[in-house]
Amino acid sequence: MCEYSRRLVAWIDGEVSVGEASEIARHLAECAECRTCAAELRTVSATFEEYCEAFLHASAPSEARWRKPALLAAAAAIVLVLVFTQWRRPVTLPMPAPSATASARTTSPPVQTSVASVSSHEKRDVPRHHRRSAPAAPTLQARARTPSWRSASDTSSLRIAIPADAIFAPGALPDGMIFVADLSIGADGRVEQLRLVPQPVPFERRLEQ
Amino acid sequence: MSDESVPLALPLSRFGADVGEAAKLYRELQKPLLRYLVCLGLSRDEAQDVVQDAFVSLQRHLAGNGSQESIRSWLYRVAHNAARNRQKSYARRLSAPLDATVVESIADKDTPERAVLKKEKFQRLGKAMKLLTESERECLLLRAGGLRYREIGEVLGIGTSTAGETVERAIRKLAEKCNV
Repeated sequence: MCEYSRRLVAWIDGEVSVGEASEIARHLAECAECRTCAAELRTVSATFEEYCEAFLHASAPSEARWRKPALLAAAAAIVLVLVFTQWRRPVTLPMPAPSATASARTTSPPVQTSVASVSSHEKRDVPRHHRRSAPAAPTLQARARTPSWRSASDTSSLRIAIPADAIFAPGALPDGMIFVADLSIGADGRVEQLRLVPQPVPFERRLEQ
Repeated sequence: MSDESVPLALPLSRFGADVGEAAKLYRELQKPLLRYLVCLGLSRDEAQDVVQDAFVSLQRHLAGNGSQESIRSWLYRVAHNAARNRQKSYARRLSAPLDATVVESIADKDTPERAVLKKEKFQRLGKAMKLLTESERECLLLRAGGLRYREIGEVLGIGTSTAGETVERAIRKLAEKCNV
């Protein structure tokens, strides 16, 4: 193997001195073996980057699962906003009725609401272009687990976003913090448990200010 | 609810610092950082969370007059360590053969012939990547993000020359095994 061969990766990456770089370039003009080797190393580097990009692309959340907003303008004006999300599915699901039973799922009217209208309260799964118009106040978020009668494939959650200033005294909530509330809702529709978890405001929401 | 109007948009000062510098870095580095974390094995959601947290930390770091030197490796190091703390899913995907969803994404964009070629190429690469050590994979992923050997060393807590040697070894393994 040629003595220059071991320096080729560093040379391709621009990690050798100027003097060494020109020395290697001169050598490549004369050595066919090193030229071939350098071409292979470049190809495999490019393939690796493509592979990484494909990984990122494959991990992208599909925008198709979000329905067109139905109540876009109204939701921004009201303080209490409900967002219904369904795991890997469009945002449409029946409201758990107070007297919830399995049959209630088919008889309750489906509720559609806008993710975009409250998307600044969401940390994830929201298409970026939907985020712009949303307000970004400190909020209390509530995520309700669905009653246990729902099957695993039908997992859904109820999100309630409330500006924190409507609940806490001014200044009581630390800057840059939100609370996420996990609600457990029983089969009768009543809240069984409420747990508040403080979280920092995601950086992207700070940029929307 | 209070009768007073609820402030829906707060001034920047509520977040304690000017976000200007961090915002600039966010626009530049958000996507490569996200890609790095997803390729490390985090889910998209986990990776998004780590990116957001890393930039919040960066903003605090800059606001606290933290060093602005090597800020890119600082950010990657914070995100890398956070990813390590989410070990459950960490290192799972890259060690697995080519994911079916990746194959689908190829088919979406290319002509059928090119998609087949690319799929084969990725399958060979995926196999070869299984032969890499964790450190070699990390070095290659950071290199693919455009980091210099010095920065790779800073992120992983190894010397610059070790980072360079690891990159060299990893690339040669891939070139030898996948023969692309």
